[in-house]
Amino acid sequence: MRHLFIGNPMLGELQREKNKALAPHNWQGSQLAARVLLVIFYLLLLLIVLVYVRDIEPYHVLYALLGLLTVLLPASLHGVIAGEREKRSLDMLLCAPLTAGQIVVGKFSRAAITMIGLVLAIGVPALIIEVVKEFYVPREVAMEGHTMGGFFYALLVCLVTAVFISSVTLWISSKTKTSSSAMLSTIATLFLFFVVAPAIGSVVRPISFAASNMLTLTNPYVTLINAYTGQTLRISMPYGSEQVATMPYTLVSIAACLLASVLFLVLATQNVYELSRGRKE
Amino acid sequence: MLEVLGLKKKYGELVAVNGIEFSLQPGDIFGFIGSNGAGKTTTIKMLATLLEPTTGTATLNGIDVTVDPMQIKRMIGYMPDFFGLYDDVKVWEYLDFFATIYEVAAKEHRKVIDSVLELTDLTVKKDSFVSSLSRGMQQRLCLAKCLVHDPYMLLLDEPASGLDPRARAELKDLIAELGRMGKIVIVSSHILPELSDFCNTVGIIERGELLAFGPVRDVVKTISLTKVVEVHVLDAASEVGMWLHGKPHVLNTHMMAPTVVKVEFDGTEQDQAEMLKALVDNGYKVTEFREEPIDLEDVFLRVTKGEVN
Repeated sequence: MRHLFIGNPMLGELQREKNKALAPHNWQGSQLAARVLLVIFYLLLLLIVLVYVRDIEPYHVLYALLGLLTVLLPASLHGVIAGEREKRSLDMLLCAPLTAGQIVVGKFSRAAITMIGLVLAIGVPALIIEVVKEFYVPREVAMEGHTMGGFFYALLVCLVTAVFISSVTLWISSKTKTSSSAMLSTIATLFLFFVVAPAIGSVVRPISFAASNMLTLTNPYVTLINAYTGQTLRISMPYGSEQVATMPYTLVSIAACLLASVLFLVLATQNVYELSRGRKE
Repeated sequence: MLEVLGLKKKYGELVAVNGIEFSLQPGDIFGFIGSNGAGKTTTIKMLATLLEPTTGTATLNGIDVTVDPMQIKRMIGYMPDFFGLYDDVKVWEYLDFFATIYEVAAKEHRKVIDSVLELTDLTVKKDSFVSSLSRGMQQRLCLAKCLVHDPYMLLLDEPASGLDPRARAELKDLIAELGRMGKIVIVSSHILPELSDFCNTVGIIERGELLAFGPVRDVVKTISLTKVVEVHVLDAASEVGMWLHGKPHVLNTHMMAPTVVKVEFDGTEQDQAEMLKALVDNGYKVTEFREEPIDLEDVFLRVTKGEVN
């Protein structure tokens, strides 16, 4: 395990990314325009938060963070292996003295940078609002059961979901031959997890309440608000209504995301290993 | 020392490489000759640990490529036939990245990068972006990448494909220099004149079988049992041709000019000397008597049948 994180030469990928990001040619034309737009949007977001600090709840901002992580992580990671395979630069890494695990961890480190960047850029303003709401500006609608811990719990949901999304993207990237097919497959898979699964959950509610809850309440987009508010939910059923404590589902969701992340990373490592032994062409 | 023993690769029923055997010493520049699909790339990939042999072994300094691929990877530099580079970084950044990957000590990076750039004649491009390099320069950069960890063996798969004549000439010089540095260099190609200039060992592969292997001169000698001797005389060459016809080891004669006759001959060097003596003894005024050199292309065409898997 040690060789994966400490002294993993593939972490040089971060330096390469840094060099790439700072390269003058990436500060020209459309690249420059994209970066300027990003900064403008970010400043706009901060401005909105400042102006409407009374109306905005921190979980709104956390939803924005979760949304951005869902979009930006696959966008930045889908080609890390498939793209190299397509460009025929992967052979250079496969014939270098690196284990498949080191390659996967090195590539995953890029996701970590995106995650940290987004969490700092969006999570910190959300935290400021949380503090303001908690201590200075009283909430107009009181949140029963919410504590400061709920904020960090919700932030944890965002982070765990980000790790999950990154792992799925990396696994798909190691399976596919081109970055475009990796991108499409990732979008389809995430759609399946985040949209289709809860939709099925809603449909099967009259048949199995437990299965329905498992499919809907473990969805990170549902988990986030549950983690933030710490509420029990009252779900209406044909025969009346049921009270559901959301905490177990949130914990299951976090555990499942972490477990699935590890599984997808192991599978990605296996795929890279097989590529390095010529078992996949 | 590289020793390849019974290396075989099968894809289902298809035998891509069929139990080839050869060995190379430091300083050997081995020209691996074969048509497209003959099994060159498969063999090179097995040596580069990127393919698992079905059976057989290859050992580099006693280390088996299948038993300890990680150690082998530290000892080789592999340049694939088709490759991509990270084109959004500068030349030195690219090499710096691979120096990190190959665990070159951080304080040595600058020195190593400068020396491989100098060797590959890319010093002036050190701060250029990889994307701005020509195909020939990218080829050299890939070779520079292969050299950052000072490998014991270099595997160059079709290194000159797509290069212009000047770039090819430069690459030849570079490979010859690497051989002089004591590295084992394996160069595959199907363009034979490109190899004959600087390889001291050749192997001819067809349908996965190694048909010939050894020092260039020996292979040429073994394969070319019939040689062509050009005889220049002061007299009418036709007369010489007629006289030679039917003599021992003379297979055929061709008139090339009024004073030049070419003799197809299957004798030894001793027989050749005796034929010259007989010509002179019979009063023919021989001004030139020489064996036509047979190049690798001739040898290749004689040995192979043009079959592919």
